[in-house]
Amino acid sequence: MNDPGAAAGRSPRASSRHSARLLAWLAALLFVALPLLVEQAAAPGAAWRQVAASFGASVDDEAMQPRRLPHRWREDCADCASTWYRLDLLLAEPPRETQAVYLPALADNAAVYLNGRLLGQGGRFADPVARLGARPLWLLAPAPLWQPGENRLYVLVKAERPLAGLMPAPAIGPEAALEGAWRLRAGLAVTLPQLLATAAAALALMMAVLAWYRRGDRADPGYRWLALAAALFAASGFVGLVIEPPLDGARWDLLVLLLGTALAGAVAGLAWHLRAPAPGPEAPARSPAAGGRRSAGAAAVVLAAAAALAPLEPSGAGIEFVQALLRGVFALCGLALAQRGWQRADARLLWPGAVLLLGAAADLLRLPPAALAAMPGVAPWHEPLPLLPWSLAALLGSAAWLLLARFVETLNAAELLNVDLEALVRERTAALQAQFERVRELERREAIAAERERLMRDMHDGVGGHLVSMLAMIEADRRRPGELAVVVREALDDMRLMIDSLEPVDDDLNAVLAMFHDRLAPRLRGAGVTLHWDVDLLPQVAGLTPARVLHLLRILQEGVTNALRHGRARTLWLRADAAGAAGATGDADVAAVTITLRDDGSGFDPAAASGGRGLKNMRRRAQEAGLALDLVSAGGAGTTLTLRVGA
Amino acid sequence: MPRVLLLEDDPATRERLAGIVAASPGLELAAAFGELRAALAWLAVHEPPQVLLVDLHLPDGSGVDLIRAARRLAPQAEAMVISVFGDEAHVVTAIEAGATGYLLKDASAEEIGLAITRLLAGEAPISSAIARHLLRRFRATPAAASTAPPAGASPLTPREGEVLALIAKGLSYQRIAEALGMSPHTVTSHIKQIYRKLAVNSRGEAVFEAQQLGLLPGAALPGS
Repeated sequence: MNDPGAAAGRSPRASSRHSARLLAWLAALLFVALPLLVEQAAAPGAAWRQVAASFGASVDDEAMQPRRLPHRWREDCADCASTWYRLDLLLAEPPRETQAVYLPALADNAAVYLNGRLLGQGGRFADPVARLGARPLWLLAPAPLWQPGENRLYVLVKAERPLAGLMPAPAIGPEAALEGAWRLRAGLAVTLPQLLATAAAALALMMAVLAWYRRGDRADPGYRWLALAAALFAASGFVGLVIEPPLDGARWDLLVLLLGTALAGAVAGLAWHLRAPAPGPEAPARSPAAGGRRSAGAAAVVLAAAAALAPLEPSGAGIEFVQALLRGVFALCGLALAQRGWQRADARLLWPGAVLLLGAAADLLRLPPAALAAMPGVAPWHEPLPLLPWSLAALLGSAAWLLLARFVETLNAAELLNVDLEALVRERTAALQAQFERVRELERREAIAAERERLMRDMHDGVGGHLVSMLAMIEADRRRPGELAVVVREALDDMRLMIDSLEPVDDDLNAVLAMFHDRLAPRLRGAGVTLHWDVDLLPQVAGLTPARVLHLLRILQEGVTNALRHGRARTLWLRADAAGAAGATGDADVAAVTITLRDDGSGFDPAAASGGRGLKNMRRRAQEAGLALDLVSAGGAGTTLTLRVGA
Repeated sequence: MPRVLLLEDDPATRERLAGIVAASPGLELAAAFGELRAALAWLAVHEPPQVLLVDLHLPDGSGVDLIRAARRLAPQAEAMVISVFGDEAHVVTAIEAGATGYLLKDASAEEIGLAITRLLAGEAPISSAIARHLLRRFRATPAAASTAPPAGASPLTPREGEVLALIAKGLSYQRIAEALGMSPHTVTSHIKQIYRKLAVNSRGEAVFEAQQLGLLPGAALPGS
């Protein structure tokens, strides 16, 4: 039973574990002995006990033999069935108050007579005879029944099985002096087992419900074992409290023994389950070996067979043998649990195991096999209570505690996991959100930066250039307000183009051309130039961004400026129509628009045009905007500028 | 002879415009101001002019206030907004206040004289950008111009919607008249009507909002 890990490990912890184990053993011993100690403390003193008696098969004073009480039939009366006891009480003067006759335990039934008057009896005497079990018998003898001098007390004891027969030493005395002891005994022998059986029935129901709701692979089989054991314990308890059996003696014994056997099996299963290492890092989960299961099954069959056959043996030796076997099984279960609890230094296993072992051992020694019974001093107690029910109840309670603790631990772990998961999800969501915000902010900044850069470039090319030019003119003080006015007007026109280019046009080229027309018309009217505006309703052109619109407007503006300034044109034609490009590519969605700006000016030679900063700019803009630009001109024949947009 | 009230805060531009108006045959400059307060004070005590030329951005307020005041004090007066760029953000605000057109600040003397004369003749110049803005505002899409615009959504008649859509496309009045089978004069009167509706509409909204805010005694709200 030594824990090698503890021995090799740190000694302070090992020693504390050791003392915890010893403490568990001590607590178990105290717990098991508790009913005995309580009863012993309240037992009637020796002064009240009547130990001298005579006994015989009938009320024939001659045939009776003297016997010191208590009288266990197994010791010298193997063929006893109905036995009479005579106790002679010599009183100098009769008592003035009611006297009590108290028999702490009987087997199986008794009737008490005082001076020829029946004081009372435990139950039915006809077959099946009443069984008082561990119940005390409490009878009152009123004062008038007593007489001065000799008083004769007869007790008739009847037992189903001679081996179980018992006549205790009765305590006789004033009611008040003995009542406490009787009530305590009755409480321990009747009320307590009733309470335990009821509690076990409730526990069985609870565990059955738990096992039902947790059925399936994940279920802890401990719930089922505990439910079964508790149910059988409750049944055994209630059966054990029955005084007058509804069946004949042999059948009743059979029922009791079979219930006991089944209970032993269920407790063995429960103990086996509790003993198995709890799944965890210390030891992997392990199902019982098939060999172990087979031998356990075989043992159960043998036990059940023995229990079934035992009642056929009339003396009661068979029953006692089976009972001893069952107690042995309980003791082994207790030992197994206590050993595992000791190994793991787990008081939750060690304590109930020790309790079960001690309780079963105590009962086993009280009811020893026939060979042991002959030995003097083997049965040292004075009609002690059976301790096994008490111990079993402790085991069931501990098992319930253990299983519920495991259940709650699992639940807590699951809840913690949930909380962790939720926190994790929240964290991730927040991180994603932050990431998203960051990306959006970056995109926004990039877009702003790009737009800013475009505006700066456009201003540099347009208004900036014009302003520089104006400044140069003013500084040179050439006093040519006409020229200055032209440059200023161009600067203003350019700014208007920029503003127009920012107008949302929704890919509508008509809108762009309309804006251009609105700007152009007053200026041409003022210059006396005729404008022929011939614009069809045009299809939408994808991707008309402000940058492209500005390029387009500036190319047209430049074309008009060139025609007026250099070509001295008097008439301008602007024509815009959907080109046949859609048909050429076979893709109806791709629309192309051709814009043609023609003038009747002097024209120029595009190949030879060296002063073509304006031309170069137009080509660059067309390239940047993805427009196809075509300039056709010849001296004196005007100029035709063709722009293709889209496709 | 039609009298013109000029409100423009830039002295050079004011002088130039005042000179153009004064020099225009058939126009008389009634007064020129650089501040809103002075113009309002003048309007309150003088014979109402026929034409207002108003700059919107003034040191002591918005020219829109003068246009509003003129609606009360000089209901017959036509108001024009003077703008550097003629962008719709400026012009539409003024139209909502009751203006019927706009002038570019750098327009030539001929253009300005022509624009005022046309205004007095009942024409209402409207740029394509402004037309597009109005279409968006009235939720009548150019595509829906050929069919009837959704009832209730737009105060415009289907015809007005069509005219507006074609103006937004940049078509000349002549071509619009051809396309819609009407005279150019009818196109112009449609545009006038649109202007009026816009002003009325915006005033209706203002009244409605005032009622919502509890500034005006509640009247039965139409359609609600």
